[in-house]
Amino acid sequence: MTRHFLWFAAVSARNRMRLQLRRLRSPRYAVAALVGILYFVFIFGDWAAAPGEPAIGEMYMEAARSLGPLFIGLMAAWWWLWGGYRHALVLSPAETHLLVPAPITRAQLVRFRILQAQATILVSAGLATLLTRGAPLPWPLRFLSLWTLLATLHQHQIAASLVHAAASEQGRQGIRRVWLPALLFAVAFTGVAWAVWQAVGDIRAQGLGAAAGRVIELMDEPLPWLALAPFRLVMNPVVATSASEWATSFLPALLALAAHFIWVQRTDAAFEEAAASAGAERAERVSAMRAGGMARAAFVRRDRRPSAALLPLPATGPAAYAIYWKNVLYVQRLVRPLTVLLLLAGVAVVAAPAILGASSPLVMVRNTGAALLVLAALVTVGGPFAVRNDLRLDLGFLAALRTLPVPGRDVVAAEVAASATVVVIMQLAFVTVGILLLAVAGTLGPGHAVLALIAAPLLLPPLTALGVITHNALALLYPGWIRVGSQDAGGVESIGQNMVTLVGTLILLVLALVPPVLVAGAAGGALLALSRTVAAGVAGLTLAAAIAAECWLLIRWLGRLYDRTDPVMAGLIQ
Amino acid sequence: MIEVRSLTRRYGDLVAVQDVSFTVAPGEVVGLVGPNGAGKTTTLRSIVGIIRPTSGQVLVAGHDIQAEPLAAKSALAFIPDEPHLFPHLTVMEHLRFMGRIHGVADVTERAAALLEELALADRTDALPAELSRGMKQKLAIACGLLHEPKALLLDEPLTGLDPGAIRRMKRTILGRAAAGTAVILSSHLLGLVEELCSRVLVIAGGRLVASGSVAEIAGSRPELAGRGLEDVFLALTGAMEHGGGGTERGGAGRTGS
Repeated sequence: MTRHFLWFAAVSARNRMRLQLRRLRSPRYAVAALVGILYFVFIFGDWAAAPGEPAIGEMYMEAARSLGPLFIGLMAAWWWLWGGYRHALVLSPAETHLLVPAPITRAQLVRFRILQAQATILVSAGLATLLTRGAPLPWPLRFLSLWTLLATLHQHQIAASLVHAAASEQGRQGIRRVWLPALLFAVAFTGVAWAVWQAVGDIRAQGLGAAAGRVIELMDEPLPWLALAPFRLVMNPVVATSASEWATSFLPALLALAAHFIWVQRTDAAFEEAAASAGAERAERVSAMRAGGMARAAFVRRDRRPSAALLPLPATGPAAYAIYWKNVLYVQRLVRPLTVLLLLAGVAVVAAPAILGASSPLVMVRNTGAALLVLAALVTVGGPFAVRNDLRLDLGFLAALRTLPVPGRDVVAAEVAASATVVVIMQLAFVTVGILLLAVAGTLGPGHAVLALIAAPLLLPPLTALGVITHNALALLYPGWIRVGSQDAGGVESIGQNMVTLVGTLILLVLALVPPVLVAGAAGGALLALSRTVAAGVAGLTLAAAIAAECWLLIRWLGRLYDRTDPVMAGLIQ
Repeated sequence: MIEVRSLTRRYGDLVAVQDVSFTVAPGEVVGLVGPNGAGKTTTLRSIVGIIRPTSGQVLVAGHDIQAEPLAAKSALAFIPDEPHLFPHLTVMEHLRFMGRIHGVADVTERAAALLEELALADRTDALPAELSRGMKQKLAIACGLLHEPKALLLDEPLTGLDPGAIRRMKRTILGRAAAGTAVILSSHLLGLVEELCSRVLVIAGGRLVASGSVAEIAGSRPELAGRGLEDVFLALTGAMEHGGGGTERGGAGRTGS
């Protein structure tokens, strides 16, 4: 049976590769593939590290040695405690209908799933081997170690799946099902958190520069070391610095992999129903993505209850407002409180050295304010690319939208406004708090702080709208390049497509900003002799007005383009 | 109510629909039938303004769909074979969304009546992912009927519906027609077309090859006298497949009709 499964996995991989290659006949995919390959050459090329400098791999190895076990621990916690186990044992509808009724044992089905995952694991191990080029270990040993690590993690996830399925079979629900792993993870992470808390004083004393190094050192102290020991066991061969060290650490890692294999083969849990259900959900999500982009895919989970809409929708009024309401509601329902919490936690972790390493409370306030302004700048640049509740979302529904009695320019305006609203809310939150903190810390005088607080809501909305418009313009001009509609990209060309899209929109945005900046510069320059403050104020207002005027013109143009776009010719519908 | 004049749609060298003309009067239910790839979906999409005709004109309630799209679209509803629903909106929110788009002031009352009529009243808070294929189809139908359109175009409207829902849907279509709505019903279910439609348009190879009641079409050919729609359909479209007419460059292979 294993031979048949191997054949199946090999044929599937070959056919997937053929499909990817066939796509390259289309010029846009070929160009994107070329850009993707250039990207890989840039990342893995020898010129990346100058001679004499430490190899890029060593840097990663150092961080991996200390923080890798913690990362693995967090992943394992997610698998056991927060539903990550659902993704391990998934049977596609075809597998459910063809394999489950076939005379195959559960252990063989699990083995099939393990074999099937090997293609992805081997490619991932290969890429990681390339990424760690500068490591002292020869590449075959690194590859072997990485494969062992990834294969063990995959089987650990399967084991979590099986344990959940077995507990569910016995009628145990909720916390009772996972109390043991929950307790173990709680003990381990409390140990790490306690050690980090104890070291905050040291970090503060040593200053910002040493903070990252101190955090890495911390992981080698007794308490974190002990807490993360099981995860370190599988990580050790990957970060070994010599062949002898590798030899001594590889055997335990290999034994851990073997133990996992025996574990998953011996656990006779009735997982078929859960795997089929997860597979059906995944198939629905993939089909939804192909039919209507990410929008449909995100709402396939049947256990999600829709929250009440925050924005009201009166029965009468401008029709386009309904489109704006719909798209804002999309973000409201897509972004869960847990997502926001994780995002804030991520920001806190990134900003932690700057905040915790401050020498006084006032410096801490100043650093926090500065960090928030940096974050606002990042949102300004990346927000219009990342927040896509506009035409990039709705082009998948173009056939339905085109039958609505709403003029194209109103549709485009509503679509752009929906994305811009989300980005501007984030920007204004970060900027307002950031400016206030800087004012409290004394970095900004009260006058400048007030001016900045007035300028932000005047400048940021039109600037953000312009950014969103450039992305929507690209989506309408080249729908095949944007992740909408039925042509769901994959492989190296999707990396290239994303890069071309990002660079293209940034160039468009810069070009679009040239006329407003010139107009504002001229207006401010004329008043410079009178007063610098007045000149700056007039320049700012002119800039905001000029960008807004440009947005209005662009929306009218895009409206006509929307009306003229043929969904069949654009490949958005069949 | 619906007037199609010399409608032609080309995709490069491919002629999807060629010189198609017909009218549908208020209260009339007209069937649009034809083999796969004949140009039915292209015709419907051109009428409702999803795609632009290469040439020709479409009038809905007296308004040109290209020159006065808002007035024309306000008067029509199109229910495609595959329901296009927004994944993050519940059943009731879909209806409120459509109500706002069409300016329906009493949306709550109308929505409640429609959901009752289509047996969806107990699923108002459900997302599309929670609905069966048939329920999604019913929701798409409810969205189309909410603003009481003067022209109703349905592409395979009974796909996925159970027998009870099919019966209800038939009543709904006939009820709307009785109230003065012009209905075009595109379907491969010839029995349904024969049952509901007073007139049939047979399209093949992108051309309109016959138009009239089944008896009229059958009467125009002695060999079909007294035959049903299925025989008429096969005779007409079979003739087209064997070179009895059609487009120069192979009909409407591009679209999904």
